[in-house]
Amino acid sequence: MKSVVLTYTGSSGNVYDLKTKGLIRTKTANFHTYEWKMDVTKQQYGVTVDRFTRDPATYQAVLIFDGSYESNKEMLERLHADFERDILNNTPGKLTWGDCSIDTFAYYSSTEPGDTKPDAKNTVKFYCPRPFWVQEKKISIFAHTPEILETDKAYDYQYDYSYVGMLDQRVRFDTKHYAESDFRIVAYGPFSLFNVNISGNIYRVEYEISAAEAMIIDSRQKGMYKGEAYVLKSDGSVANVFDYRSPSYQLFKRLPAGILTIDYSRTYGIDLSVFIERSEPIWNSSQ
Amino acid sequence: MELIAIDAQLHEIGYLVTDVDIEVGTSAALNNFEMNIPPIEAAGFYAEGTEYGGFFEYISEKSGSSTAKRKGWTWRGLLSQDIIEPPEGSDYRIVSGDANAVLSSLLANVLGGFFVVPDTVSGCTINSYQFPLYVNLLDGISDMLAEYGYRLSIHAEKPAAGDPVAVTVEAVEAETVGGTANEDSPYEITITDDHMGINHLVCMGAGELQNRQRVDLYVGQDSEVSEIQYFTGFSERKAYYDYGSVESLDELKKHGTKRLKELASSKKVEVSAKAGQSIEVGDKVQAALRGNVVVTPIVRKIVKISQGVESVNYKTSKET
Repeated sequence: MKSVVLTYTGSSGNVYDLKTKGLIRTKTANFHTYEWKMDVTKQQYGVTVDRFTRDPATYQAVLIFDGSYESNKEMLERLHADFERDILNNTPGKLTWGDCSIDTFAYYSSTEPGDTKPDAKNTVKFYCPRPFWVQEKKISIFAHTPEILETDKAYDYQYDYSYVGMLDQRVRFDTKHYAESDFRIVAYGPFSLFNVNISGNIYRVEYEISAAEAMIIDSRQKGMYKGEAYVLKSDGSVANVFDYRSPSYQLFKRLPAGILTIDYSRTYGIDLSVFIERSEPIWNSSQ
Repeated sequence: MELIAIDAQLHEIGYLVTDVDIEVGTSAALNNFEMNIPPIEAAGFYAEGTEYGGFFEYISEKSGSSTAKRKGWTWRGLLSQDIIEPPEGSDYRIVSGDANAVLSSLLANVLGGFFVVPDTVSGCTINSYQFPLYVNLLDGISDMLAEYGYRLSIHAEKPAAGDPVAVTVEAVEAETVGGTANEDSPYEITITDDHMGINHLVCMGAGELQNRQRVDLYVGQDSEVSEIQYFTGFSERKAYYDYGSVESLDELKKHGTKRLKELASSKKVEVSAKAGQSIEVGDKVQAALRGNVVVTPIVRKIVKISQGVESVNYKTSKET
């Protein structure tokens, strides 16, 4: 059976495989642990549940550095430097388990000699402010042009969706998820109006972009803002285009559960990423 | 309810994720907002379709803290920061016409024409209304409209993509919410019938010892203040009011009456609304109190928006 991928990616971009024998391997970890909390109203008999909430998640992992003495020292130095960089810059790193990942800070570390020399045993605790593992599912939809129709024949069908028809404007995309999800749309210029209907909600920005530009609509919270809408300009600059949203529609409305219907003019191409949130990493991961 | 950050030109920046405390009402209310947020580029915020919003005009930062307290006048509060002056050559400002047209002329030069008044007819015709001298705009307009059963409606909206947010002020008919059976009301109503107040005020003015000016003021059966005693014996509650520097007996009576109204027994109505329910400042609440129906206007809204959820407490004017 193929082993699941487990990595830590620092905010620097450095990636550490935590399941590599002879380098770093994870001896124990509790990533499949979660707990909901309840806000309740007391009743004569029991309570009624007003809502469920979650605290930030914390996980503990025991890493074994089982390379040579020199290699262990070097890996510890590099990994812990990334841990510290994330904390001091307040920019989270990322734990990845199979298809799922979660933003995290390694806020505790304790290192001691391993059971076998020259191994080092490193106990690490991870703090995850948003306690959900995210699986990204993505679909790319090309513009309807004669050239694209030709290349469509060689389209990579790795994602689970189907066309209603090659010339149809509507595309179905099954997220296979039981809850609403955040999303990111990358729309490639040129176009004078971004207007996409996803399962009945219209996402619309009245802003014109050129061929070398792209518009990004991302519903996820970033800092003090819920969602962001911006254009990557051809000169490399970034322009906030939130002000050009149509006030009649909800620009960052989360996508509904299950099968999505994506309907628009198809005069420009888009990439749609759906961020599926789960309390624990997916069990039947494809990796 | 979404809070939207705006720049100084009223263009939108993004949906703001934060909590905010807001108070709006007559000029006796704070009419401001307060939030604690990290440094951001925004100049202010608004909530679509509501009067909640304003510019940051007060920032207090504490060393070592990642957030700063930001405060500012609400849109309504900005109206309390200007006054109604008589036109040149006149003793008073007197207005007539449709209420929206009157508002338009009053607000034309306020804050550089910041407020938008719709061209539509409000249905309320003002007849030679004379404003008190140098009254602030908020109280002047609110009192004028109340006299005709109308109230101020303030709401901010973005007309179209790329347009700046418009803060609209218009006259609308005041509604009366609630009923004669409080249990049937969609709002949670708390009525306080306070009989612990003073009903006899001994007002002492200028002079020395036995020669001081003295006026005895009493609360009557219908809460009116006069020099005729109504409550006697066990029901009498007496207090002393000292105004030694008063210039005349009439002035002593005037200030004594004001003081006695503050000290007298009162009926108070407080209202809590659930999410989605909306009562505005100037609307009236009707509630039953031991068989009597009390109708009293909303004079203050205390709003908390936390995690996008709005909770509101309403205060009504004191009914003495």
